[in-house]
Order: sequence, then C-alpha cells, then structure tokens
Amino acid sequence: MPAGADSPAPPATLATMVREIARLGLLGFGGVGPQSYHLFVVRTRWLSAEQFAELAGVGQALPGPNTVNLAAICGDRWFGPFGALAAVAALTVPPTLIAIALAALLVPVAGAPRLVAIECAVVAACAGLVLATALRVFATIAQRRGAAFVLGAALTAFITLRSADMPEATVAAIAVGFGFELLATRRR
Amino acid sequence: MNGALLLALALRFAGLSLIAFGGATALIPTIRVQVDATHWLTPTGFTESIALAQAAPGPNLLLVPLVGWHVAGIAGAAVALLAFVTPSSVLAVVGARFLLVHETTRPVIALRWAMRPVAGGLMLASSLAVFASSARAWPAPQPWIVAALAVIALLTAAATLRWKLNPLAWIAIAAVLGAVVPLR
Repeated sequence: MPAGADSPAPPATLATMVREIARLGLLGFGGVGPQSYHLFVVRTRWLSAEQFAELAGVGQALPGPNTVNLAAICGDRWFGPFGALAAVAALTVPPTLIAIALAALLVPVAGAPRLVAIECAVVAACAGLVLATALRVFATIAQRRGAAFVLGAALTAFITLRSADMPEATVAAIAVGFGFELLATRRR
Repeated sequence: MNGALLLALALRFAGLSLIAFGGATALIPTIRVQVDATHWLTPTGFTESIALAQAAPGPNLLLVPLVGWHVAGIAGAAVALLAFVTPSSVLAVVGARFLLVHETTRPVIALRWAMRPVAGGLMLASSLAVFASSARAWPAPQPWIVAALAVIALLTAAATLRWKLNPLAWIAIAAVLGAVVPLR
C-alpha cells in the first residue's frame, strides 16, 4: 500500500463517525449503498478502496441491509461494540424519524382517493425499481455461471419464498449454493 | 401500551433479520403475508408504508419501523427497528471479526455468490408483491388502471437499467401521474 498523506486513517472521534454516518443516512434516497463508498473512501478517507471492498463484501455476504452491516462492522473496528451500536443507530434512527413524521402527517388525509392514487403510482414505480435490482443481480450471476444456472437459482429462490418454511428454506438454499461455489472455485 | 403486541413485533422482525438477504426489500412478500394474517395494517396502509419507505431518505429498511409504527406507535417503531437490525448487525460484527482475522477470503467470496441468486429470487418475488400491493390498493380498481400501473412499473425498470438516473426521479414522475390520472 502506498504510504503518504492520503493513506486511510480511522475517524478521530466517535462523534465524527456518528455525524458523518448520520449524514449518509439522510442524503441517500432509494438506498444508501452507492453513497457509502463515497463517504468511507473519498470524503473521509477512513478506508482504502481495497479495505472498503473487503468490508463491504463481508457485509453483503451476510443477511441484513448491506450498508447497515457495513456500518456495524466499521463501528466495531474503530470503537468496539459500542461503536457498532452508535454507527447502526446513526444510520437508521434519523431516516426512521423522518419516515414516521411523513406517515403521521398523512394520517388526517389517510384513505383519500387522490392520495391513495398517488401512493399506488409511486408503489408501482417501486416495483419497477425492485425488478431492475433483481435483473441486475441475475445479469451479474449470468456472467459468472451462465444463464442456465441463473434460471435454476431463480426458480429455487422463488419456490423457497412461496414455501411455508421460508427462513429454513432460505438458509438451506444458501447452504447448497455455498457448497457449490466452494467446489466450483476449487476445480479452477 | 400492549406488551403482547410489542413482543409479537419483536419476535417477528428479529426472526426475519437473519434471512434478510438483500435487505428489507427482499422481505416485502413475507411482511405482507404477516401483515394480512394479523391485520396489523390495512392493504392501503401497507401500500402507503411502501411508498413512504421509498420516498424518505435512508437505508432500505424503513418499511419495518413504519409497520411497527402503525401497529403500536413510536414504541412499535422502535421495537421493530431494534429487532430487525440487532441480530443481523451482531452477526455482521462477529462474522467480520472471524472472517477478516482468518484472512480466508475464499469462503467470503463463495458466500457472497451463494446468497446472490437467493437475493435475486427474493427481489423478483418482491417486485411482484410490491406491484400487487399497488394494484390492490387503488380506489376503484379497473383493468385499465392495473395495466397503467404495470406500464409505470415496467418503464421504471427499463429506464433504471438503461439510464443511471436517481431512483427518486422515477418516484416523482410516478407521483405526478398518480396526481393527474382520472379516478373514475
């Protein structure tokens, strides 16, 4: 790693970390994933690009919202368990308060046909955004394993979701995939 | 405040936390089934919560505290959020300590690729469930409205994949369409 003035250093204080992560939560619309690289690597230089890739990779491999996982891992790294707690709270509590404030504002007009129409149209657009995310995920997998694998995996996941024992089936599907990946990468 | 209700919220979202591959978005179908079974929210309230979770800034988990808020106010929101982020965050911290200390990147990479098809499948099912919530909550459902909502969804998906515009822009466009469309 090139040493120098711009080599990464952990946040100086817990308060700095909390402030910056809270800012990340409040600026990210439609998910904070893309902005988290900018915060950790470019803006604050708390992590090098390699460290970010490594930590974000662990966060993505485990269940839970990716950026919340990343915040927990970084908070723990820099300030121990209390740091993890502070980072997760900083990322999730302010946006939650905003969402609840909006919901509370809408209570007096709840169920008004025009409001419901606007909400339905917004939710239809949300369905499109989620669909786009799913297709991106499948495109990435197709590049690595081919279209047949994607089809099989998607079907498995879909059936998993429809099954009554969804948590158990999800874990089982991931365990099977994990074994497959270990075998597939060993052979090469 | 109803303690049993808060406990039910806590248990439900703590259980979902450890299978939230892809965040709360992947769990929308499951949350919807739960909400319908318990009557925690009306279909309209659930649709509104999805819309607000998307329109507000922040990580993709705001649906969880919003459901909690509808069920039991601020205490419900706090319990739902805490229950949802605690198990996965603890696992992330412990997992990262273990995985990074051992410098074994191969299992991490394998795990990442193993969860991706599952996350993709969950997302696909989720987009259908989100769409169903939209069509179901419309004031006076008619075939042409459902078709129009499907067009909004598909155009948003196509446009998101084609141009890297901020998702908020599509949300805003959809809101304007919803504001001007005739209701009868």
